[in-house]
Amino acid sequence: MVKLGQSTRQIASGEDGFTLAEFSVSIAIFSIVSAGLMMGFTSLERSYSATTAFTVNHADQMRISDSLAMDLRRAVAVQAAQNDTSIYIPTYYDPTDDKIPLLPALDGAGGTFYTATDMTGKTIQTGSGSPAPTLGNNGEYYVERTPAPTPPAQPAPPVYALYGPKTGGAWGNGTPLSVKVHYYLLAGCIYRQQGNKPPVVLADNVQGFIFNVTDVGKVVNTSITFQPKFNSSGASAAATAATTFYNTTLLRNTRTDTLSGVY
Amino acid sequence: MRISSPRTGGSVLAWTVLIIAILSLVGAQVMRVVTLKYQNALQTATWQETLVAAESGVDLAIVELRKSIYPQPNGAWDGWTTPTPAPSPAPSATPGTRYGKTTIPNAGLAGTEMTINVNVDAPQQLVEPGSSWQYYRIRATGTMPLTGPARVTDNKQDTSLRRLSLHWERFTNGLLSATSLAAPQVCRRVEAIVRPVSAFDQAIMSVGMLDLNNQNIRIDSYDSTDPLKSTNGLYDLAKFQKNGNIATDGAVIDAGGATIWGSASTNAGTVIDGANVKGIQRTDFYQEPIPISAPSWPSINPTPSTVTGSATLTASATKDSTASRYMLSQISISGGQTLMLAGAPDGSRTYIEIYVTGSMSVAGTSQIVLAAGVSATIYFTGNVAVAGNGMVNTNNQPADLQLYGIQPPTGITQTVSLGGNGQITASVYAPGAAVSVNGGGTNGHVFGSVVGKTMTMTGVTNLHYDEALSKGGTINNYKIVSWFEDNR
Repeated sequence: MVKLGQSTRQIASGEDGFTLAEFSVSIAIFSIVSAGLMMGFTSLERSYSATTAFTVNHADQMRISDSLAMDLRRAVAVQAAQNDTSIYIPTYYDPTDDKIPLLPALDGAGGTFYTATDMTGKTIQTGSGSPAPTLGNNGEYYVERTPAPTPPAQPAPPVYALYGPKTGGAWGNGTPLSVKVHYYLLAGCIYRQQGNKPPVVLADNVQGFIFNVTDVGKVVNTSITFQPKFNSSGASAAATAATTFYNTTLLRNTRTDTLSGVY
Repeated sequence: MRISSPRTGGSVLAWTVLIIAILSLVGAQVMRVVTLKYQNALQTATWQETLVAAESGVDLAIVELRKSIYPQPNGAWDGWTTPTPAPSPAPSATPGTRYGKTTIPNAGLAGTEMTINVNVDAPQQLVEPGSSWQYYRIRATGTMPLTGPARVTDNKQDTSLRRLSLHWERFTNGLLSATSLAAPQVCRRVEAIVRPVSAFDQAIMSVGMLDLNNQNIRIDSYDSTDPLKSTNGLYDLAKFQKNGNIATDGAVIDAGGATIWGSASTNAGTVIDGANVKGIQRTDFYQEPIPISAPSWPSINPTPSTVTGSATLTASATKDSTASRYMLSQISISGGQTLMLAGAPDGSRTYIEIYVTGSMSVAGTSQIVLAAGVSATIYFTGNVAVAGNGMVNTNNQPADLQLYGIQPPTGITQTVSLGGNGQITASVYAPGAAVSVNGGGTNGHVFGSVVGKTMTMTGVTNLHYDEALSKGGTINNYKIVSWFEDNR
C-alpha cells in the first residue's frame, strides 16, 4: 500500500540512488584505493622487472664465466685484456669437420700436440722461432713454440705451429697447432669466436658488462661485473661492484706462450 | 525497512574474482620464472659437478699408472676390465684399453651419484723414440642424472654452452653416436695424455734432509743432447742452463748459501740460507720415492760371481740379453786395482747390467772404468763407498752410468758415499740411502743427478745436472702433458 506524500521514486524497490556527496566520497575512496593499487602494482612490476633483469644478468655472468673457464682449462696460451681476451686451445678437431678428433703426437720435447698425420716413427724437433733451413733433415718435422712478445712490444699472437715434413731442404709453411678463441664485447653483446667460424653471441643486451681476465701464469683469474637496474638513476658504484663474479681457473696444459713453459 | 540490492552483491563478487585472477596470474608468472631460473641453476650446477666426475676419472687412471711402477705385486689395474671385443687397431702396449666404471656418491648435489667411465690406451704414436717411453691416453667420461623434467632452459645460449643429454646421449662407448635415454643426464668428456717422469727429473732430490751446508756450492744444468746447451755433449760454462732444481719431500733444505741456478722446493717447509737460489722457492713439492726392487733376470753370465780384485766385465751389444747381465756378491777393490767394464773395440754402443747383492767398495786409487760406448746400470743392495776419482766414465755422459739402490728393509738405511776431489759423471737413485757426495776443491765436479733418502754434499764445488736425464732412466711418476675437454 502506498502512503500519501511519498514519491514514486522512493517507493520503487531497487531504484535507490546516491546523493552527490555519497557519490563524491565513494569516487574519492575508489580513486585512493585504485591509486594505491596502481602504485603497488607498478612497484611490484618494477621490482619484478629489476629482479628478473638481475637474474638474467647473473645467468649471463655464469655463462660467460663457464665458457671462459672451459676454454682456459684447455688453453695453451692466453692474451688477456679487459673485454677483449684471446685464448688459444689445441687443434683437437679436424679443421674440416669438427666432429672428428685428430691424432695425438709427441713433440720431441716432452709435450704433445694433435695433428691429422700419424706421426709414428717420425723425427720431430721443437724450438722457438721458425726453423732454420739448416736445421734437420728431409722428412723431419719441427714444432715451433714462440712466445708472444712481452710489453711494451706490439702485441702479437704466440706461434704454435707444425712444420714439415722437410722436403728438398725447405720447411715450407707452418700449420697452426692451436685455435684462437676470441672473447670480446661489441655493441652490447659479448661474443665468442673460435678460429674463423662466425662469432657466437654468448650474452646479449649486456652494455654495462665488464669482463676482466688476469693472467697469473699457472692460473688465470676472471671477473665479470654488470650494472644492476633497481631505479631510474642507475646503480651506485657499490651496487655495481657487488655484482662482480670471480673465478680462478688452473690451466691444465703446458703453456706455449711463455719461455718457462709454466709447468 | 532497508532492502539490500542484489546488484551491489554481484559487483563485490566480480571484483573479488577479478583481483584473485590478477593475483593468480601474477603468482603463476612469478612461479614460472622462478621455476625456470631454478631449473637453469640446477642444470648449471649439475653440469659443473659433472666435470669433477670426469676429472676424477683421469685421476683414477693416473693412480693405477703410478701403482704400476711399484715392484710387483702392486695391484695396478685390479678391478679394471678390457673391453670385448678388443679395440681395433689393437693397443700397442700395456695396459691396452681399459675401462673403469665407478659410481660414487656426491655430497654436492643432494647426494646425486656420479658415474665415471675411463678408457686408457697406449697408442703407437705416443711412444717416445729415444727412450721407448710409452705415453698413455686417458679418456674419462663423467655422468650425472639431471633432476626435474627433460626441459631446456629459457635461454638458448645456455643450451649451446652446457650440452645436456635430455632425451639422447651424444656418445655411445666413446663414439659420437647417439643413444636414447630413459632419463635426462649430463655427460662431460675429458681427454688427457700423461707421460712418464724420470727418477732423474731433478738435479738433487731427497726424501728427507737436503744439506748443502759446507761450502759455497754451485748447481746448474746443461743438456747433453742440445748443442745450444752444451758443447759436443759436454757441459760448457758459457751455455749453462738454469734448471738445476733441487727438492725434498721433507721440510728443510739447508742451502748453505749455495748458488743454485734452479728452483728449491720443499714439502711445506723452508729453505735455510737460500739467498742465492736463483729460481723460485716452492713449498708444494712431493714426489713419491718409488722403491727399486731386486732385478729378476731369467739368466745371467755365470762368472764372475764376485769381484775382489782387478777384473773385466764385458758388455753386450744386445740390451737385456744374458750376455749383458752379471750378478755379483760384492765389489771390493783397493790400491791400484781396476774393474773394467769393457765394450766393443770400436766404441760402438754396448750394454751391461750388474746386480751387486752385497756392498761396493772402491778404495784408495782403485777405479771402476767404464769403457767407451758402454751403457752401465748397477743395482746394489748393500752400501757403496767410492773414493775420489773411483769411477771413470769414459763417455762423460751421466746417463751411461746409472746406480740404483735396492730398497733396504724397513728400519735399515743404506749409505752411499761418492768421493770427490775430481770428477764424477753418474746418476744415482737410492731413495733408501743416506747419500753423501764428498770431496771438493776447485776441480770438484759432479755431472748428473742424485736421489737419496737424505743428501749431503760436502766440499763439492759444482754439480751440473744433465737435463737429458729427464728423458730416460727408471720411471718414477706420471704427469699430465695434455688436457682437453671434448665438448662435441
